[in-house]
Order: sequence, then structure tokens, then C-alpha cells
Amino acid sequence: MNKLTLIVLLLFGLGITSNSKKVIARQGQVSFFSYTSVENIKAENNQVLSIIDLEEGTIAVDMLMNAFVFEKALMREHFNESYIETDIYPKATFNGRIEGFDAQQQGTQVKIIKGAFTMRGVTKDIEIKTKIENNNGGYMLSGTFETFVKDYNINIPPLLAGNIAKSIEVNFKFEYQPYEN
Amino acid sequence: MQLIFKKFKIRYKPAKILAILFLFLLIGITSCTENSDKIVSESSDVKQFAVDQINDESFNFENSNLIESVVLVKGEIKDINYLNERSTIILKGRSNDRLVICDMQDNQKQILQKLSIGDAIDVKGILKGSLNDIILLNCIIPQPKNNE
Repeated sequence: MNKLTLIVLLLFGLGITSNSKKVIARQGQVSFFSYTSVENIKAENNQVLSIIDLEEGTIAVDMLMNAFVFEKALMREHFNESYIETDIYPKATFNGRIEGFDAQQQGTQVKIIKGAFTMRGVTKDIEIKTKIENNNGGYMLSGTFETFVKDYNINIPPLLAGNIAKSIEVNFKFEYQPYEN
Repeated sequence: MQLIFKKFKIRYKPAKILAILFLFLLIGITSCTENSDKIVSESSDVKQFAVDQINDESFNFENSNLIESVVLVKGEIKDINYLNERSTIILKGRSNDRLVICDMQDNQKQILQKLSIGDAIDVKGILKGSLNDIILLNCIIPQPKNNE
């Protein structure tokens, strides 16, 4: 009887662990800044999707490149039509793993997320230092990293080269909710 | 140049001309900086969809020619939130799996205060595409006309 109970409990336990617990951010914020002496360019996307598998420690991010909002219409037009070509490459994605992530730890932990970022059909391995806040199961991730225009084969006409920085600062903030799917 | 000024009896004052040119330049710059996306207005004719229609997985966004155009979506309010200092309405259809996220124009704040979760509403906005959910930007809630 005891053995049977143990087996049932074991199977039940396995069943629970195979149903990975996930959290979702439907309105993540990603913004980028380009600083030059000629002009500063800022854009913000507030509808970035991200899902974390808390047990696997994996993270996926998906964003529509045409959903970035700029200060000037001309900046948006250049970004969508000339630099990113959003009609051909509508999305950018990131798939990675949070190194040493403890989903149960309350409060703040700073971790490195390693993964592959794909934009304009070009995939680069990147590492991002990320602040993770866990407030009773409400997770928030935020951080900053730099990326280089040349890494993604973005062609900037010589006339506008002075207006766009070679290195772009990217900021992100995701607030997650339980994902029931 | 001086002939033109003589013809129109205008006294040639470079400072005045420079000031006028500067004014035109300023008007040009401010008109460019008002908004990076097109403004959605009540009057524009648009295609209409229910949340379930636009969320149907067989709906092909890439071939629909609807990306970057203004659409009207009918649905039930699942949530209203103010994350990232933006006003957002989330619409649902029959299922909760795929939703419609509507990022509202700043001038809609007063209208939002009158809405509640569960209300059936129409939202008009620029269709940006689909991730897990459908994304609309610069949204407005069309108001019924007085004679209706």
C-alpha cells in the first residue's frame, strides 16, 4: 500500500513538473536611443511580447518593428522604409536563457541572459545584464544594452551617416503576469 | 529681387524677410514634429472586424494589405491599463487566447474613464500586425453622432 502511494505521488509529482510554469508580458517596453552631435533619435515600442518559462529559465521576446513610435514622422519613415525594411522584416526576436535564475527567490536578483537576437534576418549571440524583480510571483525584468548598426547590415546613406550613432542604446522593461494556455 | 519689391510696393528690409523665412521654417519644423504616426480621426472610412474575425489564425496579415491602415474592431473590454504611461484597452472575443491590444491616443483619456471591463465597444486604430495578440496604435473610440 505504501509502495503504491509512493508511486502515485511520484507520478503526480512528475506530472506537475512537466507542466512548466510560464509568465507573459504582452505590453513590454523597448526603447532605443541614438546620440550624435547632429541629432538625438529616440523611439519606443510599448507592445513587446515576452514569455518566460520559470522552470526552464528560458525567455522569448517578440516585437513588431513598425510599432516603434518616434518624435518625428521623418525618423519613423526612414527607420521603417530604409533602415529596418519592416515590410520585409516585420519582427525582431530574442530567444535566450537566464543564467542561474532562481524563480523562487523573492526581491531583486541581477542575472546574465544569454541568447540569440534576430533583426533584419541577421542573428547575433548577445549577453544582457538584467535586473529581475520578483514580488510574490509578479516578475519584472529591466536592463540596458548596446547594439551596433553594422552588425545587422543596416545601410545608412553617407549623407545621413552623421545623424545616426554607430552604437545604439537599447532599454527594456517587462512586467509579467501568469500565462494560462 | 528689388524689382519685385518695387512692383508690390514693399520696402526692401532684409531683417523682415529673414524673420518671415524663419517663421515659415518654424511652422515646417513643428508640423513635422507633431506625431510620428498618422492621426486616426472619426471621419475616416475603415474596414470593420469583430475581435474573433481579426484574430482568426487563417487571417493572413501579410497579404491583407491592412498593415498600417486604419481598422475598426468590435469587442468586449477585457482590461484597461496605464502601463508605461500609456492608456491601453485590451479587447477580447469569444476566447481569451488571442486579444486585441489598443494603444490609445492621448486625447481619449476622458472617454476611457467612462468605460468598464465587460463593456462592448468599437475601437478605431492603425493596425500594426500580430504577435500573440493583434496590435493597434493611435486608437480612438468613435463617439455616436448627435443625430443618431
